[in-house]
Amino acid sequence: MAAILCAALIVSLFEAPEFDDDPDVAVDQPETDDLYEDVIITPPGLGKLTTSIVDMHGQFVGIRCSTCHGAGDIGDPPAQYADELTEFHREMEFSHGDLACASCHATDDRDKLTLASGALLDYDDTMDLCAQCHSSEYKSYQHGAHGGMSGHWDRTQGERVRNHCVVCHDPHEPAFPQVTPADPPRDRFFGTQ
Amino acid sequence: MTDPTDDTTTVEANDGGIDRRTAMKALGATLGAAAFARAMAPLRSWSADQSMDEFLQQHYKRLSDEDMERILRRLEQETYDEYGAQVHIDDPQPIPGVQFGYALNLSVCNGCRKCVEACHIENNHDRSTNNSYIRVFEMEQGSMDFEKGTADYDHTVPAPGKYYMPVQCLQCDNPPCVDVCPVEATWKEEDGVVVDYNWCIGCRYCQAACPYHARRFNWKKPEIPTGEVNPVQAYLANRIRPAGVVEKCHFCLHKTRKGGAPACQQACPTGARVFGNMLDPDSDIRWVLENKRVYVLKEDLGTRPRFFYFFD
Ligand code: HEC
Ligand code: HEC
Ligand code: HEC
Ligand code: HEC
Repeated sequence: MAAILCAALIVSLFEAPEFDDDPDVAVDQPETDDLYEDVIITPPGLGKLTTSIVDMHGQFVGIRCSTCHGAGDIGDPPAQYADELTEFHREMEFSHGDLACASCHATDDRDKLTLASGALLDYDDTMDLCAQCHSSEYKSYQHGAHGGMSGHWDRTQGERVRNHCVVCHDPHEPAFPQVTPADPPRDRFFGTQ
Repeated sequence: MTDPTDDTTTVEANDGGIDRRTAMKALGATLGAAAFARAMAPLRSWSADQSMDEFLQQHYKRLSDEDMERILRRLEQETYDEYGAQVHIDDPQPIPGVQFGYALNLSVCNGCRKCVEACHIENNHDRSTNNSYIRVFEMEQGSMDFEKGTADYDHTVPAPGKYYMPVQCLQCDNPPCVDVCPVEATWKEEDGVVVDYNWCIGCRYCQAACPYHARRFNWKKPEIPTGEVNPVQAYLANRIRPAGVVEKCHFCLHKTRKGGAPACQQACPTGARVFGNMLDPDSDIRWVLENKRVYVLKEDLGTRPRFFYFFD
């Protein structure tokens, strides 16, 4: 991104417009209570091992990590990195810096995640795990500048629907995948149509 | 029905002020006969297939509520007759105290054109041309000049060394397109720039004036299969436009004036788009303007766009 940033000097830096927050003009801000809550879309069965068995709702059944792991490691010796896995979880692609499994998965309670401080984290709080190492994206996310939204911009009229980080980024291979683009309009190039 | 370009016609299209007939005559004088004939082509065919009611329609700003009500029902009927689709057309007004702003994170956009596609469907564009109000430019890293980008790339994205810049109407605060319109068929409302497709004479001055190539000319009657017509429509927004008029992105005002997200934002899988009320100090768009380095295209032209670009 650095290259782009330098290039951006070609266009001059835009001054954020001055806003006039004169109460006569500004909208009456509704009480916070009146605002619709954000809805965060989270994949089902976060932190469970996905199996190929399908339940009555058409979802893949997930099993708790502790089903096999008991309290902790079972590999012999326990794998630290993906390339040390010889018997299980082999289908897993891993490409997330050079993190060890234990950077995120608590070693003595396989149903929990762990922060660098050693504090345990439920899978429901996975976003706090990401935030620990990616504070700037997390901050942007909290203000809608990363991660996007759908639904309503006006939360007095409806909720804002947002994706959890792991909807877009697989925790083990977080790079956003390449895609085939949709077709462009078939117009004559540049404004002639 | 009389030829609208004929001096002897007794039809008065409106009651003074913005007079389409006078403007058409003035156009004739400045353009020369051949250009005039071309510019007026949609207008001449218009007497043949359009109603007296439509010809007599007042300028949008002078329509009474009852007039508008009647026009909306007529347009719904016409859509049903021509497309077989039952649609609802309304005319939502700007929300007091709301000024729309849009920002796009260029570090995150991957050029997938989902926004282009969503716009195509939402705005009832012609299927045969795959028209859309958004073009995505594939840009060399290091350049910010979208005129040097390519809009018709068709390989897997993002490609190495490239980044992607979607461009649509920037809803300028100081819009050159509005200034050049000879009949005031396009104007600025509090929250953005709109076009009255029934008032537009198709002269395309606005298209030439827009430095961002944001306006499109509707060459032919849009083809849309009945089942694909988006029935939620508004007069100044996504209703099916007649041939021969200029159209452009209106920030999906049929949705956004009711608090909803514009279709392009709704569809963006990368989360690159931030939309909201610039007058609300707690809005996402305000946070971006105040906390990111934001850029506008061709700032030196003084158009003051309300569409901003930023990098992480
Ligand atoms: C079906 C049984 C099973 C389930 C369920 C399971 N694992 Fe494992 N896991 C294993 C086996 C077997 C190994 C050892 C693989 C090896 O060393 O090749 C292992 C290895 C690991 C390792 C490497 C450390 C070590 O002990 O060798 C981690 C980390 C791990 N699993 C995490 C998880 C997490 C997190 C879950 C829940 C989301 C989970 N596992 C669910 C069977 C299971
Ligand atoms: C960046 C933090 C992080 C690292 C490093 C990490 N994981 Fe995970 N892992 C997670 C999170 C978060 C989930 C829950 C996501 C989900 O279930 O989709 C998860 C889920 C899993 C699952 C269940 C996934 C499924 O869908 O079946 C297994 C198994 C697993 N991890 C094993 C490992 C192993 C083995 C390693 C080391 C090679 C590892 N993880 C490294 C964060 C991490
Ligand atoms: C323990 C620290 C740590 C945690 C926890 C962590 N990451 Fe990362 N992340 C990294 C590192 C290190 C990199 C690699 C940076 C680099 O390559 O320059 C990275 C890279 C990334 C990238 C860029 C990948 C690419 O190739 O472009 C994304 C996206 C990402 N992480 C998302 C996440 C998400 C989502 C979570 C939560 C599930 C998470 N990270 C949790 C440390 C972490
Ligand atoms: C709507 C999808 C989406 C969501 C939700 C999302 N991201 Fe991203 N994120 C992206 C895209 C697209 C990129 C740019 C492509 C890439 O670097 O992989 C990106 C890039 C990143 C990067 C790499 C930045 C860099 O400079 O290389 C990190 C780290 C990251 N995201 C973390 C997060 C975290 C943490 C969350 C949750 C708080 C999150 N993302 C939520 C889509 C998303």
